[in-house]
Amino acid sequence: MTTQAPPAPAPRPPAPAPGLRASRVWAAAFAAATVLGGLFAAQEVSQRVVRDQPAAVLESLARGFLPWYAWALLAPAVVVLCERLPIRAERLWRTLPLHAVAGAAAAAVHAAIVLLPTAWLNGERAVGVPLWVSYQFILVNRAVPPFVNFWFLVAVIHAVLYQRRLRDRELAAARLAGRLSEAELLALKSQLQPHFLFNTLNAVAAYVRDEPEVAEAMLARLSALLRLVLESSGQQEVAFERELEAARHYLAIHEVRFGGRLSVGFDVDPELEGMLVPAMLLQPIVENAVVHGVAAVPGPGRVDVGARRRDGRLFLCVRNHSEGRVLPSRTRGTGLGLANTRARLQQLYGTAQRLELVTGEHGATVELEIPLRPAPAGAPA
Amino acid sequence: MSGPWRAVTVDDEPPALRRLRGLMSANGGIEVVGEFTDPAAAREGIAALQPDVAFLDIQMPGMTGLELLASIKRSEPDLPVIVVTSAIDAQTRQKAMDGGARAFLVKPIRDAELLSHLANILS
Repeated sequence: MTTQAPPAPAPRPPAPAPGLRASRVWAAAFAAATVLGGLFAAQEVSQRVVRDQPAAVLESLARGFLPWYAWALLAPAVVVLCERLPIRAERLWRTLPLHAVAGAAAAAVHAAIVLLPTAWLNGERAVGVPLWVSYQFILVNRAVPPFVNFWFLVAVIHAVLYQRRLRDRELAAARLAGRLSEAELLALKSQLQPHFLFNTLNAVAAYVRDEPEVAEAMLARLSALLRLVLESSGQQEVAFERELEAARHYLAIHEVRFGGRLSVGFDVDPELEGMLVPAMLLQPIVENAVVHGVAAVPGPGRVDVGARRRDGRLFLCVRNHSEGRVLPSRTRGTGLGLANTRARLQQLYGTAQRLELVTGEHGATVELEIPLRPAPAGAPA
Repeated sequence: MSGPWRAVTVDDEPPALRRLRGLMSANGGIEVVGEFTDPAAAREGIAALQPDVAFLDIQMPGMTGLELLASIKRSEPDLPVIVVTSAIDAQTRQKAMDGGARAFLVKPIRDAELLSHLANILS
């Protein structure tokens, strides 16, 4: 069998930041337009005073505010453009021309918005200059500043969107860290919970006198399991073999505790053992299989753990089967126990993962798929 | 405590039954006449064997130890029952005592504690 390492999947593009809310865009745009318009109106008045012209405050205000309020009206459309077609280094030659065309269109629309008041202010209406002539004049003589303003607006919107994406990424990272801590805590609780620990120690005590080798093996497995859990602390992803080792110890302890009632099977493609998987991935799934599928059901039960490569991904399957019927009341916690795992997979891999729980009369199957990524040298194994 | 006394033990985990048997044989005076991993079978076994004391685990498949305790108390109201469990919460202990258990033992079982309870119950 060839052991060609699979290519690492392309890094998942960051999830798009949720769109800027229209009402907030309007509010910000009108606030900015008011400030800029005020400055330009003040400049208009100053120029008139310097030239010894009448201040004409109302006209100056109109000339100062008009172009900026027109931009405030256009701002939401430019925001949508920037959200749909963000300018990124890797797609510069595709997005820049599209933005240039959009900028020209925006300048033309801007001219149309300011046309009537400008024609009136310039006195063109008074002398009967047709509107289309005034429009032509604006386009030919005053098209450059709106075009430049468009790029200024695009730059501001990109800065805001970038800042939001950065904040969302930080939030997602913090949430992910929280999920990991939660998963660690749950795993620790499940492995150190009194029920598991005391039953295991009670079983060890049962064998100490007559079959010390069984007691010794159980203690060795218990300590190895606890060590693996403690060493995983703080790791987001670990080599799959580490998760398998913990699951083997956990299930072997249960095999002794349940006598012949529990049997366990592992069918794992050895090539997958070096792949990266989320820390504490297997533990809650295997625990669910034992607690809800075998311990709660009379008669023999079996837990099978299988993993193979499927369509360039890691496919994991944990199945529990009991001869007795699994009562729904005894499996109520199964889905809840997986909620944390599901949320972590979603945060780590986005839509490139799948986790499904199928329950039946005699057992349940958990299937999951995650991207296949080899563990780098030096990863916890 | 004079014997020989006869005990029945019920736990879905065979090592737990083995632990109880070992403790009682080491300390003498009590013979384990029936061991059950299935609570339903235990109910019939207790009726047939008529032991002097019964030990019940709480978390078992099909029927919990508390349900079995209630059932035993209906058919054998005078049989002393000792609940043996790894559940350490006060609520479970209270439920067991309210259900008619004479004693509550926490796993891993300590022999001194077991013998002290047995001495109280069987004397």
